[in-house]
Amino acid sequence: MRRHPKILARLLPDGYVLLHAPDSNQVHTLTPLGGLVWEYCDGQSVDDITKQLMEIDELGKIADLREQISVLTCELKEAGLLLDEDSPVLPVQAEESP
Amino acid sequence: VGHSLHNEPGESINLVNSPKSCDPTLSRQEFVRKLLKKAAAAGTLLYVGAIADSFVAPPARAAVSGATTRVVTSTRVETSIGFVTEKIVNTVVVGGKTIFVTDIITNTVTNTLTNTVTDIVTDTVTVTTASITFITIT
Repeated sequence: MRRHPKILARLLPDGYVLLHAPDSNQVHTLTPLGGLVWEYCDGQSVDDITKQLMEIDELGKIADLREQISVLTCELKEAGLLLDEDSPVLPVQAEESP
Repeated sequence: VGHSLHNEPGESINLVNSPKSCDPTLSRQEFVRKLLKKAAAAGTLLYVGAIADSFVAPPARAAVSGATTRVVTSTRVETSIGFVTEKIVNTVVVGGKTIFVTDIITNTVTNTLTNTVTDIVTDTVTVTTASITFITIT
């Protein structure tokens, strides 16, 4: 899995991560854990990401970390933010504003 | 060696060997360390889910100042009576550039049943320089 290359990211003061897709003007705020998963989605598999995050003291204690990462990556993929290795790069779809 | 929240401020960072993070202003090591520290300070590190909020930024327009009002409604069960802090990210477009503004709102919880909260935030931004590309204001 890899991050959509057109998405801009910024770390917010409370550990959340802001994502902005300029093409669609869609904005997402990721939870800190979601932001960490996003950071490591640079072509690595869920197992690879789990190994990396397990090295972080505060996350290593989470028993079901792999399952959580798997759920988080699915959520990011459904939003069009993550791509499979062989996926074409498409614009991020805009959603209805709440 | 694992990352830790207990690293001392100013701990040296190997910028040469640390790859760029998703935030191009930070190396990966800086990004992870800062995220852990900020999330620990805010108590948000183990919040569940990946995406906390999604919305569409207002369309770009040529102006040297701008204002945007955003209404956010959330329904949830509170576990204790007291105060709860909401974080809302808003966007204001000025001079064709999108500026992200983080609003922190404190709401009062009066019961532990299901609560629906509507937060309305209006942010006004005036810029005096044309060099802003992507910033956050808190």
